[in-house]
Amino acid sequence: MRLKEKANIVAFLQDARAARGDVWFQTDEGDQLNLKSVLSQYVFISAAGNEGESALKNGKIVCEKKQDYQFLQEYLESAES
Amino acid sequence: MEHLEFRVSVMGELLIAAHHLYNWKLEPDFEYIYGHCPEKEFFYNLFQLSSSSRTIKEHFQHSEMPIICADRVGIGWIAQFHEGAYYLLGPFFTMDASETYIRNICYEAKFPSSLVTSFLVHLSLLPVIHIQNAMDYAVMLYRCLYGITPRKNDVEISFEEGVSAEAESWSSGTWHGTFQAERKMVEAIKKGDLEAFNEIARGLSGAQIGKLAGMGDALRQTKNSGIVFATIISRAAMEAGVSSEGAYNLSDYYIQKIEGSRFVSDTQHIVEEMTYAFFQRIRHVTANLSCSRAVRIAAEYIETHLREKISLDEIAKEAGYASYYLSGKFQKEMGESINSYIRRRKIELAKELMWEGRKTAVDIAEELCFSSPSYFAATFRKYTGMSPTEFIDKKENAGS
Repeated sequence: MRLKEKANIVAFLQDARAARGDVWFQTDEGDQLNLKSVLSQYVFISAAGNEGESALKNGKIVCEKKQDYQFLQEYLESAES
Repeated sequence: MEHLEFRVSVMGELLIAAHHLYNWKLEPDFEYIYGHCPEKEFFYNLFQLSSSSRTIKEHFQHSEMPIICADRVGIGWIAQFHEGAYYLLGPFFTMDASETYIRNICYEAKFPSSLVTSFLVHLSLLPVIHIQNAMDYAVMLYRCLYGITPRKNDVEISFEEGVSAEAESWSSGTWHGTFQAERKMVEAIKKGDLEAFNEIARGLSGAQIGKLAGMGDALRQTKNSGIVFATIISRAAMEAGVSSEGAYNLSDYYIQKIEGSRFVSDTQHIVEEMTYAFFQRIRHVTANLSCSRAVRIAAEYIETHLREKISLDEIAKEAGYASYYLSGKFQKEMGESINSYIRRRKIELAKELMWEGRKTAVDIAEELCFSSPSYFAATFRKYTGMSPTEFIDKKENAGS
C-alpha cells in the first residue's frame, strides 16, 4: 500500500517501530528499506522531501505481518485506491 | 526575555558563521518554535526520530546542566532547557562519524542509491565537531541562557552505541588531519616553537590523533588521544635533544595522570600541561646548546629529576666527571652553582604547579622533595620575593 499524500511521516515511522513485524518501503524498482532501522528512517525522511518531488510516491509500504497494515492504516491509502 | 533572545541570536549567528553549527528552539514537547538551519524540515524530523530527543527529554527531567548527545550513526546535538523551552545546537557529526562512514554503511546495506543520494546531500551540510569543542559550545550555550559559566565537568555526554564499524574506510576527510600537518607539528615541537605548534593543532582540532576506542566512550577516546600524543611529543623532544630518560619519565608521568582522570575536560587540561612541560624542556635544552657537553648533560639530568632529591655526585656521575670539576665548570658556564640551579628550577616548577591551583603548597613541597614546608617557603621567598601564600593570593587576585 502507498503512503497517504499528507501522512505525518515522523508519526508513521515512530509507529512503524512499534509494529509487530518488519515494515518495508519498497520502491517501484524493487529496492527495499527496512523502516525499523534508524538509518533507513533517516534515508526515508530525506526522500520524503517536498510534496511535489517526493520519491516516496514511487514506492509502497510492505508489512511483514498482515495485522500491521491495520496498525498503520491511518497513514496508508486504502487497498482500493 | 527579549534580551535573552538577542543573546541567543547573536551567539547563534556567530556559531553558524564560524562552524555551520545551527541553532533551534523547541517547546517542551519538541514542537517547533524556530530553527536556523538549512533543510530544517529534514533535520527537525531527524531530531524527532533520533534517540537524542528521548535522551534530552529524560536528562532535563532531573538535571539543569547542558547535554551533548549523539545517536547510533553519530549525529550529535547540544541541548539546554531554559524557561520552558529547549535550545539546541546542531546537528553535527561527532568525531566517530562522517559522511563517508554513513555512505559506506548505506552501500553495505544495499540501500536504494536514488534515496541515498538525497540523504547524503543533506548530510553534506553538517559540520564535524570534536567532543572537546562541543563541550565548549555547551558551556557557551548555558552561559548565554543563564548568565553563569558552568564547569565543563558538569556537561553531560551521552553517545549511543554505534552501528557496525567493520567498514575500514569510514574515516571522515578530517580524520588524522593530514599526515603532513602532523609532520609539521612534530617539527614545531622539535624547534620548541609553541606558537607554531598551537596553530597547527588548531587546524587539526577537527581530527583525532589515533582513534582506538569505539563510539560511545568519549572519555576513553580522549585518553587514548592524549596517550598517543604523549608518545609523539616525547619522540620529538628526544630528537630536539632532551635525554631519552627525561622524555620517557615526563611522558610516563603524564600518561599516568591521563589514565587517572575521570572527566574529558580534566584529560584535556593534562594534555595541555604535558605539552607545555615538554616545550619547557626543549627550550631548556636548546638554551644550553652553547654550553659544554658536560654542563648540558648536568642541566638535562636536573630537569629530568626535579621531582626527586638530587645530589651533586649523581649529576657528576651522569656527566662523567668528578664532582669538584663539574661544579666549577657549571658555575662558569651557567653563571650559578649547581645547587642554586637545582633550587631555582624546583621553585620555577613549584610556581607552575601552584598556578594550576590543583595542589597546596605543602603538597608541592613534598612532591618536589623539599626537606620541610618551612624550607620550601624560605627557598620560595628567596627566589621570588614572596611567600607561597602571597603568590597564591596574587594569582587569585589576578583571576578575579
